[in-house]
Amino acid sequence: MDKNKVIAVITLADVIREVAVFGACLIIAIALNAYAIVHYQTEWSELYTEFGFVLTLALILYVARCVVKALILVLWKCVKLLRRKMKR
Amino acid sequence: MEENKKIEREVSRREFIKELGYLAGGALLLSMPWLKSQTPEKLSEIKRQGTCARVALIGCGSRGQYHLHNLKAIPHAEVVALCDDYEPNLKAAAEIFPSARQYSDYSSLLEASDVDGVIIATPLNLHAPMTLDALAAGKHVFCEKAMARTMSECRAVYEAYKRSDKALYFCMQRMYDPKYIKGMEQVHSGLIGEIVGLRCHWFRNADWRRKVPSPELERRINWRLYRESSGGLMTELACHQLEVCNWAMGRMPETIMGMGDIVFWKDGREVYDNVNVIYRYSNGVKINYESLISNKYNGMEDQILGHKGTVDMTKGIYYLEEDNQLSGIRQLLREGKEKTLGAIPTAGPSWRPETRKDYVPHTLVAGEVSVNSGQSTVGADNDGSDVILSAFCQSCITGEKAENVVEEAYCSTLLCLLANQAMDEKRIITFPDEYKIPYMKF
Repeated sequence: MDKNKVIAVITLADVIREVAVFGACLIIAIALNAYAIVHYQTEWSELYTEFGFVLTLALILYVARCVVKALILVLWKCVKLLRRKMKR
Repeated sequence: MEENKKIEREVSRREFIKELGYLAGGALLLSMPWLKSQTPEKLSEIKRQGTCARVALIGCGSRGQYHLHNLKAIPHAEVVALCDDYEPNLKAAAEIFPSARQYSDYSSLLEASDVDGVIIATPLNLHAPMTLDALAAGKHVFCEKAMARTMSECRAVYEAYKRSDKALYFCMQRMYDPKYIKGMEQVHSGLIGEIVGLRCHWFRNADWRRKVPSPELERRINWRLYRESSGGLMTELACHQLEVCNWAMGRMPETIMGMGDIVFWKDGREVYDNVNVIYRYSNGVKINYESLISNKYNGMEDQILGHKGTVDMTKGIYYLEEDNQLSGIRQLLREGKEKTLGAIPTAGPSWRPETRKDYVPHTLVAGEVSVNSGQSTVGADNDGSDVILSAFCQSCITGEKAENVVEEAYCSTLLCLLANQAMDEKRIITFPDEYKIPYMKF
């Protein structure tokens, strides 16, 4: 493999971090579900009957976080590029 | 062929009895004691003895003939006499039971010693005098609903029944209809939670008229349209539905209000063709009753509304609120969405228009359910009329009275008559003390 063509390397630390972030999203979604059950006085069985929905919500949160992270990254790159041009 | 049909219908009646679990001492019999008089054991005993109830029909019009057809399928019934002072009806009935003796005067019929019981299917104003005469003559009586044309007549019939050792039935067929029995069992077991409302309506689109061969017969043939002989939509239709409401609630309404008008059929009739009545129970629950006969879109429905669900007795179906309730998390997200993106500016989600949703129907009785569309002016198939008639024939043999049937008929008839009074006088009526009986709970 041509080493010059490697754009990014996903390390084990990256994977662990992303899994942890997704886990945090899942916990937030489960907590929201529990809050909603208490708030709307619905059945506690929704903790598992609505798990698919909660999982989807966690995924949406995770994707949203990725999008935000990507936007920040792009913005940061643009700022850096601009600074470099201004220095020249 | 006819014999096969008879056996088939008898088998189906037996299955009905078994299906409902008419076991001696069963919980069902405790809550619906009128069913005690026709347990399978009692029916077998009657069959073993080979005894028959010798019955006579007074009033051979369309409803009377409907009963005759049902009687043909009851093995422990023998129709020995027919009575009507209107010749064409008597002739038509005689074609169904040619061997039965024919009378034009019911007093003569009541003198016959070979008649155990009489079935009265005459205009409403004749119910009370005929029932009283028949009881006095020592006959068991099965009378069409409503109980009587006036409240004082109702009281007189009730008192006479209490004094008599004879069985008296009023055709409150819903008390013997499997889907109503099952439905009520479920309602009382808490399936739909606390009862919070009752909605009953009966809509038809027909003038309620019958052809009259000559003008002098108008009031006799179209007796339903005139106040001297009819309580109109209330006694002819609402009577059954109000009985169902009281059965569900286990009590009687305290106050009655309503409005009635002749809106469409302005053809000389005296009874309302359009009624809206509200009955209020002491706990605040209300019956909303509506009936009109110039639009049939909504048909006939007896709905019992609970905080967890709704039972539609007429269709033998129930609906649960939870089937249409959003889970907590979905409600939370929807509320969040409405707060941020919603078009409703200030009032919040309570202002959201709630159009009726499609609920998931659950059936009360397994298998095919006989549903009465409410459009027949004579009677529906398998609506309990045949079962209550069979129970009456059993009572003619055993002498056993059916518990609560007379009381239920008394209560619902009074509610019909009080509604008519409330509509006529345009005022709110409180149930009168003088017509209260020990059976009533308020």
